[in-house]
Amino acid sequence: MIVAPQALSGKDRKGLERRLTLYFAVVGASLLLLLGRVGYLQLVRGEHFEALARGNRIRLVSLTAPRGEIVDRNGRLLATTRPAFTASLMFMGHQYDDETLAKLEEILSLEPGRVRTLIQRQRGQWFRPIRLKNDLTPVEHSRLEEHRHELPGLVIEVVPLREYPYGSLAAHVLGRVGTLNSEAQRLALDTQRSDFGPVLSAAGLDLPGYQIDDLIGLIGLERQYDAVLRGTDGTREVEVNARGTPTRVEREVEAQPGLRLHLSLDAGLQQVLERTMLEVAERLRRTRSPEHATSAAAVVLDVKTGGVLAMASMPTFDPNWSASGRIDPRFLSQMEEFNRAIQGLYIPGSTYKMMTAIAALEEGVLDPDEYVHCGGAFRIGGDSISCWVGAPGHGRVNLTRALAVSCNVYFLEMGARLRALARSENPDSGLVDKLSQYAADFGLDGPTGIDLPFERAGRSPRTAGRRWLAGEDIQCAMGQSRHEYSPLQLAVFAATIANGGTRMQPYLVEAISQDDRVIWRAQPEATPAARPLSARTLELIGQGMLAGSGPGGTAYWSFRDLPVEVAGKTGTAQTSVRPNDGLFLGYAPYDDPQIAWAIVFRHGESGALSGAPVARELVRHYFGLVSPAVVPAPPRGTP
Amino acid sequence: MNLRRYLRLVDWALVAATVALMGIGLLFITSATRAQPVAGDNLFYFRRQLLSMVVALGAMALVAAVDYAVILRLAPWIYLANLAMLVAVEVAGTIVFGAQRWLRVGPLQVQPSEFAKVAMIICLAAFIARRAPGAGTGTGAAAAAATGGSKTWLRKAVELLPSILYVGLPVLLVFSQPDLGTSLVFVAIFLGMAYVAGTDPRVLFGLVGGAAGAGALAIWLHYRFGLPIPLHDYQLRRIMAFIQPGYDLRAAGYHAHQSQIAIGSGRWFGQGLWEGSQNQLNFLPMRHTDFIFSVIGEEAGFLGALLVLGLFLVLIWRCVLVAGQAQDLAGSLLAVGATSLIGFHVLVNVGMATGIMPVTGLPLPFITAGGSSLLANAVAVGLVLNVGIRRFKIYF
Repeated sequence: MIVAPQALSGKDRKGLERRLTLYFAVVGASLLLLLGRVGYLQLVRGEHFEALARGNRIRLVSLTAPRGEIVDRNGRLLATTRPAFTASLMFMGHQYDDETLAKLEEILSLEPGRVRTLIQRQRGQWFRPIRLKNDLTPVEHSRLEEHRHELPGLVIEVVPLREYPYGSLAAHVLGRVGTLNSEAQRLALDTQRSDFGPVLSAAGLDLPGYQIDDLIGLIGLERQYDAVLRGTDGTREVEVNARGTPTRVEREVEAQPGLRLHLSLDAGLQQVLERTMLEVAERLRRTRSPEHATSAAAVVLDVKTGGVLAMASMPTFDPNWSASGRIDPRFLSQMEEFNRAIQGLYIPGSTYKMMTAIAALEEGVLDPDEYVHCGGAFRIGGDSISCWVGAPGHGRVNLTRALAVSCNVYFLEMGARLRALARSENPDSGLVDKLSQYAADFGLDGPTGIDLPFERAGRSPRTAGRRWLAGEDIQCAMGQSRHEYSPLQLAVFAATIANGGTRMQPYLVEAISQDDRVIWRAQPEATPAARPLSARTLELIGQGMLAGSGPGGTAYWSFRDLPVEVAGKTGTAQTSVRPNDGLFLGYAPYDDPQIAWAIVFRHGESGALSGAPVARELVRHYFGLVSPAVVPAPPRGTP
Repeated sequence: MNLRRYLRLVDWALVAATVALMGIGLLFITSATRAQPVAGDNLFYFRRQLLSMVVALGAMALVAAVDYAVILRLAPWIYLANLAMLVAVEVAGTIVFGAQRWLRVGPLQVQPSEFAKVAMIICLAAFIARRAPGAGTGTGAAAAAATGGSKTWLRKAVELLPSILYVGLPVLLVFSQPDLGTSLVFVAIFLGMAYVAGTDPRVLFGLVGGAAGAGALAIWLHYRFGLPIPLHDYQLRRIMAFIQPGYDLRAAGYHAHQSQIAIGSGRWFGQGLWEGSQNQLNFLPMRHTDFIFSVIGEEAGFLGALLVLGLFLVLIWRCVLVAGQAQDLAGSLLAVGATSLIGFHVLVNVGMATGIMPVTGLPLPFITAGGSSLLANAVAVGLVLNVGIRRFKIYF
């Protein structure tokens, strides 16, 4: 690797010198070009630039892009923007005395020292106005105007802020906005936005950049679709005078509004759902005990497409409370962001019995015409598990009747048979392993992948090498023991049964549009089943669920007088705390299913008392059995 | 060796130009940072830069003293050390403004890519000189270049391939930091040295044109069809701000515009030292580093800018002179590499400050605050002095 020194011959040296001359000429010419450019700036346009630099200054005002609208399936505005006043400081290098700042903080009700902190934070970027407060109240606005002469550099601008015309309606679905305040959040949004690259470029928008203090979607669709909703902020270079008042616009790049989301959601049905849930909860608390119906969640799906027609979580909140970026302190304690429909996990109870029946039918351990005797209790080894009716039991029950009356003994028997079958194949396995082979195809094994952030979901339990007690294993047949699922998972379960075993991917956003031009449209998507079921199996399950709302069925009372045939299954789940949870799964109409739902009431006493009455109202509304609800927007102003 | 004879052979004009530029840098760094005391110390940057200056001049003298043939013999080791250093940045670097460019060594933060530039000059000089057609046969590079006229372009491009690969590996590492500017510096050094070594300029033009075309196509595809490309958003924004003014005023375009206002307002004689309002009122971003030339333009006017650019011209002229007198091709290439390094930085940095180049974050040699860059450039000048001192074989 030693470099052999090469003396340059005369001929070589000549070539070298020729090339060096040209090389120097090129570099020298570049330097002259730079000098020419500097001369042009300083000598030709110097006067112009000097005027800009002296006395008149350029400030860079960000023009906030209005967030995209969110509309329901009928075009009703669920989220829009409204103009709001904001107060900013154009820092002109002047020093504010403490008294002035204290006054400012007092008017804007900011904590003492806040303004100085904000000025400090803006260090090195004083060409940008310092945003003091979004969404001024009329009182704050007029007091600022009154004191304007004492506050050089104060600028009041109009910016678009988020507004949700229906208040708390579908709050958990829509989500809310707030300020970006952590690096982790910024990274998450940065990662997420790339999913929308093609949509944004089709709309002529850039991938958004995120900075601390930006107003962003924190939860719900606002979060999931932040990249398409936020639009592209514009900028305006303004000349300001020595007091910081803008006098002239030097350059301007207009803001581009965010795109519009079209949801599969039906605001009318959503309103019926939320209202009924609240009524039922209040009735239970009034007639039973204050410990009843402390929370609830429900999901209604379009059986054919998987589109979410309604999704509610109770208690709820009003996203308008944080439209300015900070939560209105008056409502801080009521900010109930937890979306139980996709984040709460509940024991399914008897609503799981369809799953046991499916496994039993497909595995051939159940003859649909066979009768099982229910004497009120089922014996496992030395223990006995009683049927919910108690002694003397349901008597002779077949599958249809067992689903209709929700006979525990019948399904425990099926569980015992499946367990025996599983253990004959593999002594270390159990009932749960058989069940989980079928459960995944019904959405009961992991997240559904709905277009909402932070989804939590239960997994179908498995023995996974652990030794399960017989009772622990067999009780899974009736949805107790180790099951936990989100209401959305249960709704997908119901919808998949309704849709002949074809599981549709649940989704909320049907289309994304810009200026009435649709840019992107969701394609309903079926998730292929790992184990396709026989049509006969699903027919039998459907018949059982239909009987559940018929005479003698557990949900008969709620549907006794409806002209639409409803298939449903009640569930009453025992948790560690009494009263029991109430669940109701179902779909309608029976012969041509259009909607499917899951409704869960924490401490709802029973499915028949809590979930079923809500489903009744859903069906009445959806199938036009009542005069269509007109959805009035609440009056503006007070959030 | 005879010290007096040694000192007589030193190119003092080159040394003078270098020291003068450092002095100007020190002055304007002080002006640019006066309003931003660090830990209550108004002269923090002044002190730090002064210290760096002393270290840099010492390093320059040291590098000039050791025979460059010895330095060239170390090239393979320097190359490997360089790669190791760049990998270390990748693994343990500090992220500043979204780019991973700093390495913490004890109390110091060093910018390895600055040293990588000088390392590249040494390695390339050794590599090209050794591989030059006719190496070892005594016919020399230029003769081969003359006969090379009959080869096809493709053939010539293929012959260039080993050098391209050689320089390409560190370029890729720097590019992934991500540091677009420094990657381009490597390319500029390579082009200058390859040309002077006798590579057909048409092949070089073809390469550069092809790469630029491919880059432009990739960016277009990225915006049109969302093609993933290995550039960060802020880099793209800067390039776009340059190609399409008004594209994103918020960041890149705004800086460039403010810088032009600052320079323009200097007019003939400047606003006076410490009187530039753009500078003193924080309108200029990164003004003691990337935008130091704007401060000079604003406060010292056209005459100040003329002085700075004139000094750079003198410096480059002396370097090219040394390149022409060098005793061997490798020495020539060392000098040309150093010239390309400094010239390209000046071109891009001043071009950026005056709004004719995209904002890339390349420092202005000797003037921008920062020890790593100062030291690296001083070492580059030291190499040129070294080649100049040993121009007559007879003395050694």
